[in-house]
Amino acid sequence: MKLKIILMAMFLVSLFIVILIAIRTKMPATVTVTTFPQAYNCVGLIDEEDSFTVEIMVNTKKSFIDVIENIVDASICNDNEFLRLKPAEIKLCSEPLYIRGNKYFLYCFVFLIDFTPETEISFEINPALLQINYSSGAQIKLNIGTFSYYKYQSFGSAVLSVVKLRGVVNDIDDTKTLAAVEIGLRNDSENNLRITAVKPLDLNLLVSGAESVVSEDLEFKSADLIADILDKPYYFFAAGTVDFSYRLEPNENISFLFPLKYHQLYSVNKLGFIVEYESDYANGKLVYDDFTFFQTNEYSRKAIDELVFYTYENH
Amino acid sequence: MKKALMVIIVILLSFGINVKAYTKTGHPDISEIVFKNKGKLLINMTSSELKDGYSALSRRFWGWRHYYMNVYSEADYIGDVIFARINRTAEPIEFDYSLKETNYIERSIKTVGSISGSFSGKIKMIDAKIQGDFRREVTKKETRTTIEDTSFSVVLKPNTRLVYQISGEALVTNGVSKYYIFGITMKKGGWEYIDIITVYYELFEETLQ
Repeated sequence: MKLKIILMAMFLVSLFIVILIAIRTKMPATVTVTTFPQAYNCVGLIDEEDSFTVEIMVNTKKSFIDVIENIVDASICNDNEFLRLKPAEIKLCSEPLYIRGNKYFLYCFVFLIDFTPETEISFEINPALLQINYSSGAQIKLNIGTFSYYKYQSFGSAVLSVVKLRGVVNDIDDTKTLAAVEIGLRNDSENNLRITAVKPLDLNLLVSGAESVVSEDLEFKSADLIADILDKPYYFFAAGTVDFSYRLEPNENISFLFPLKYHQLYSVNKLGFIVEYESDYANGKLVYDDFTFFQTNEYSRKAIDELVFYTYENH
Repeated sequence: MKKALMVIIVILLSFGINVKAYTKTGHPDISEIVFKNKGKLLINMTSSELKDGYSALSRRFWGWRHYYMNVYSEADYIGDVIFARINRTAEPIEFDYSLKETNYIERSIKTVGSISGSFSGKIKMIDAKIQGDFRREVTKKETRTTIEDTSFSVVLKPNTRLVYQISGEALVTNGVSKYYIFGITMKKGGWEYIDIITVYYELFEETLQ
């Protein structure tokens, strides 16, 4: 009798464990993903492979979305442009986030850019859709914002050095983004150099040359409003004059604050840039690799309200 | 004398003393905090301020009581120098800097008193309650790994120093807590957590004297 009871108890416990495992491992029927659109940009050398990371929020850990082996191919594209990507890594990169009361897991999708030009080239995709095809036949297509990609022969310059970099970060229409960049330059040559332009390497931005100022004597913090620093109203979307001119004496070292104008508003937190200059002997340019000016851990209410949620069958 | 010193070291090691870098804030990765309006760090609170906090806690039969001193007080902080490079030679030095993957601290926790150790888990519950009460209009990441290439090439002139440093904005929340069992205080102490909201990166070269 006792043996029967023990066997029955063992059977019930085993059944309970099996049911529990079945419930826990059951794949949900659908999976919902979303991402915050932003200005992605990447600057690289012609002979180097570049990578970039997209943060994608997924409402379950049990889906086909985050299994790298399931991916057949990936690309950034729109109706006119196409750039092939190679998935390199997918990993959880935060504790769960709660958006509108729902739990989301933040995955970092790291892609290598499968593009090897032989000459300097710029590749600007606006809007940029991230398309991933899976072995099950499923395809996800997310609007990730814009993508700007630039390839150069070399970084730096033999006659000009960057000796300071700092960003001014403002909330523009509830979007935390770069409002200006402070760049320190040093003339390493024995001749005068004339700085003729500073060009940010992102399709959404240009430098307002006419409103750029020498920043040596300006005291400001990265979170200060650009209008307060310049001590006059500043308009982020107005057409600006890109022309800039400054004569840099041999060995002179000076910093400038370059306010930024936006063609369209996406958060920009890292940026490469070009400084163009003229000397008595030749014209040249200094290309600076993308530099991360800031990172934020908060998403504004507006950014959350504007999120687009994509739901797919969970194969 | 040496023997006595050795005995003290052995005793300290056997009690598992955790030696951490000293900072003015009491948080190892944050070297300075400046409140934007009013606020005070736990490390700067006087014993009478802490005592007032404990006195404000009404007794309960079982469980925790919390008293908040600062709730999401906005502050600027100065963080780590990621790297600094000095050129004391007579020739320029060219070097490449590259950072592939970084784990950023999004929340720094400090506890004092008899609540230390096990209290870190409670911080999440406290924060969830405060978030509900204060309804901050944001969603916040609590930990993060960023997989991103940060690289640059620099020519460092003689007698100069290049510094790559972080600063930023943070929210400071702190208070005191007591744990009761049958109405008797079993644990009590102060706690503080600093949420890093925005990190600013700065690169600058300076001339050495």
